[in-house]
Parts: sequence; structure tokens; C-alpha cells
Amino acid sequence: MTTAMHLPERAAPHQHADRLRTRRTGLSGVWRRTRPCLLALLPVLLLIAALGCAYGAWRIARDNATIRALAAGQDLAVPVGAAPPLLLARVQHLARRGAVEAIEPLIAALDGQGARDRAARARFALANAHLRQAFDHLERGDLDPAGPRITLARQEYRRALQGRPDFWDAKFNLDVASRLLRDFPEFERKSGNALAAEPKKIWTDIPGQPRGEP
Amino acid sequence: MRIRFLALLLAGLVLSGPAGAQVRSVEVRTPRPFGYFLGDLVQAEIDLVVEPGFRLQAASLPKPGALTYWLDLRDLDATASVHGDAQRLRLGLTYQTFYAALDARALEIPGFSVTFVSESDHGATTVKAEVPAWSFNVSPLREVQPPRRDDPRDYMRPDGQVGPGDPRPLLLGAAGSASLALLALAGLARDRTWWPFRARRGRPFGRAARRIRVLERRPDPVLHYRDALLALHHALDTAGERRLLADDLGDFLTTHPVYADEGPDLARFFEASRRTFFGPGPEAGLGVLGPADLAALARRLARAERTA
Repeated sequence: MTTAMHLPERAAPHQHADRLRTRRTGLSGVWRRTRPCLLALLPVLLLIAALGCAYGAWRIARDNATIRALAAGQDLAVPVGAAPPLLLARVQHLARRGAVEAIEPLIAALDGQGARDRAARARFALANAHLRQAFDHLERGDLDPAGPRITLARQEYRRALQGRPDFWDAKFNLDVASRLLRDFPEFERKSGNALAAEPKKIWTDIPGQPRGEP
Repeated sequence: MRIRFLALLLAGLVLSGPAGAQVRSVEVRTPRPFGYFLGDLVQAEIDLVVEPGFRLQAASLPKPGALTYWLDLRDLDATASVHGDAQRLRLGLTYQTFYAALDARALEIPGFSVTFVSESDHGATTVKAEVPAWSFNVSPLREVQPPRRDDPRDYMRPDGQVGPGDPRPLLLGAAGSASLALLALAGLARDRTWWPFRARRGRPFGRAARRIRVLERRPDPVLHYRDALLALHHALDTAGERRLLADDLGDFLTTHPVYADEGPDLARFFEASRRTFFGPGPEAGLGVLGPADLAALARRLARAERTA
């Protein structure tokens, strides 16, 4: 016990010297003290990173399987929160089947995720679906529902081009749709977006159609 | 540097009214006034030079959005600067045309007016600078009469397909992170003298702490108290590079300052050791430093050793 009584006094000057030394080598002192913590933290962080990457890769692989199945014509449901490529694949699948009503929320989801390019491609697919339906109507001779369909298609092509101005397929199909329903330049018209359905114009533009008069 | 055509130059003077003197010049520049397809962006740069003291009224600028059914104003940015003794306002305008042309033709982008205000003691003076309409040429994408096809859908470009995503970069990242994690784990194991680094040199207290923990967990710690004390003695001898007795503790702490905080407990350890080996026996030593305290001391010494 006597040793214990002596020790604090004996240790005091040494501690003082030690403090001086640590101040002189402050940076290396901090490094020495934090090194055990960092060594313990590093494997944990790297393991989390590895798990995150592996999860991301697994998700991509799973989405790829769904995309392939959708492209093959299988009707698989896709949640609104899915990854943009998967949403776009679903939109293209629905567009091929002509289910235009189910496409809108998916495009809104793409917009919400900030996927501009894929949202433009989705709008293009939707516009194509509208245009194909318009062709169906025209082939059956139903001119009244065809006009609004063409107008909808043109709106969607326009939105697709607004999202991606160099989208050449959208430019081409907008040209196809525009020739079906020709706009006459009306420069005084101020409300540009209001492409009101004007089915009567279709009569003048489809060659060989009867004028509808007795 | 982009070569810019001087598409239109309205040399300065809006002739009528007093505004003429205040608006010095209005200039419209475009990269090219021809060769646009539908959907293309049409850029224009407009320089307005006005008398000093006039400030732009921001509300008078055109608003981005649809201007006509075939034309959008997508973007507009205005930068004001001092140009000689006058104020210059540069407007960068980005339009997008949606005109589906059958033949090459000129389209006119409508003009607009920009209002500037000068406020003085006598009240505010406003002046309107008229930006003239200017035109550019659009070109058709297709021939007027495309070759006849039976199915009109054949005129359309196809919907397109989503390509599969590539998981390889992420897999590579996962493999890389996992290997680095293993490496870091090996580093940690070496630092803490875990397997397979149990016998590593330079960590005597780490080994002693593990040995003492094993002994402490045995059913009757009193029986193994001597072994535990010996393990710590051995570690102290290795750390001090000579046989350490109670009187050497002060010198040891001087030469190994990282253990200085444990000075009092080390003194208790030597006292317990003295009573155990040279006194009444382990029971007397246990009174000074219990097995749990001994294990805790060894653990603290091992931790201090890692920061050395």
C-alpha cells in the first residue's frame, strides 16, 4: 500500500512531461487515440457498402427478368415506386396492348422520380398507342372519335419532345399525326396548349373520304 | 466560339415619341435562321441598350410557356451589364418549334416589348423597347407524298424497347467493398490480437487480458488467481523488457506514459501479488484486487497498449 501512496506524487511530473510531449505531437497523438476506433469502424462501413452494392445489383437483375417477361408479352403488374427502366417497360407493354388509361399514373411516377429521358420515351409510347387507336377508328370509318385521339397523340408527342428535344422518333411520328389533323397556322391564337378537338378538320385531310353530304 | 449570324439589326431607334432617345438599340442574333425541324430548339440572343438609370421591369418579360400552338418559349434568362455609358440588357431566349412543315418555309417568331423604369425625385419614367418579330426557316422531315403503304401504322416509328440494366458495375463494387472489408477486418484482428494474430509480438497486455478473462470465467476464480497474476506479471515484464518489481513501477510509467492513468491500479496489483506470493496467500490478495478488477485492469491496459 505504501507504494500506492507514493505513486501519485511520483507520477505527477511524468504526467506533466507527457502532456508537453502530446502537445508537441498533437496530430500524431490524435491519430494514435482514434486509430483503434477507425480500425473497428472501417470493416463495418465497408461491409455496409458491399451489402448496398449487392442489393442494388440484385434489384437490377430482378428488374431485368421482369423487363424481359414484359417484352415477351407477359402481363406483369409493376408498382408505381419501381425503378424507371421497369416503369418504362411496363408503359411500353401497356401501349402495345392499347391500355392507355393505365399508363398515365406510371408516367407521373417517372416524372416524380426525375427520369426525364424515360418519361419522354414513355410519353412517346403512349402517343403511339393513341395514334394506333385513331388509325383503328379511321379504318372502321369512325371519324368522330378519331379526331380527339389524334389530338391526344399530338399532345403527348409534344410533351415527349419538350422533355427530350432530340427525340427523332417522336419528331417523325408527330409529323405523321400532324398530317392527319392539319393545323392551319393561326398566328393570332394566343392559347397554344389548347389543342381543342376539331374533328371536322379531319374531313378535309383524309384523301378519298366522302364529304358526308347526300 | 460560336459563330453567330447577325440575323437582324434594328439600328437603334424607335422613331416615334420620346422613348427613341432612351432606347439606344435593339439587336436580335440567332445562330442560324434556317434548317430547323419540328421539335428543334431555336436560340436567340437579344441585346437591348438603354440610357443609364433605367432598370428592367421584370414583369414585362415574356413568360416561358406556350406562345402559339406551334411554338413554346422554354427558357429565358436576362443579364444586365454596363455597356460604355449605357445600360445593356442581354436576353437569352430558347424557343422550341412544333411546326410540322410540308415544305421549307419561313415562320415568324412574334415580337414583344420590354419595359424599363427610371425612378427619380419627380416620379418614375417608363420606356418601352420593342423587340421586333423575326423569322427562321423550318424544313420538312418527310416527303410530301410518302410511298403508299397498306397499313397506316407502318408510317409510324416503333415504340422502342427498354434495354436491360447492367448490374456488373454494382457487382464489381460489391466484390471490391467486400474484399476491402475483409482486409480491414484482418487489420482490426491484428490490432486486437484476435485469431490468427494471437501470438503477434508487441501486444503483451492483449494476450494477458485474454488469458485473464479465460481464467476469470472458470468456476472457481480463486484457484486460478495466481495464474492470472502471473499472466499480468509476464505481460508487464515483456512490456518493460525486464523483470518488473513493485519498485520499478515508477520508472516503467515514465518510460511508457500511455499506461500512466493505470498507475494506482498497477500499484494495487503489485500489492495483491506481494500478499499472494510472499504473504498469507490468494485470499489476502483478493482483498486488495478482486478477479473482476484484475480482468478490468488488464483490459484497460490492453486498450492503452493499442493507442501506443
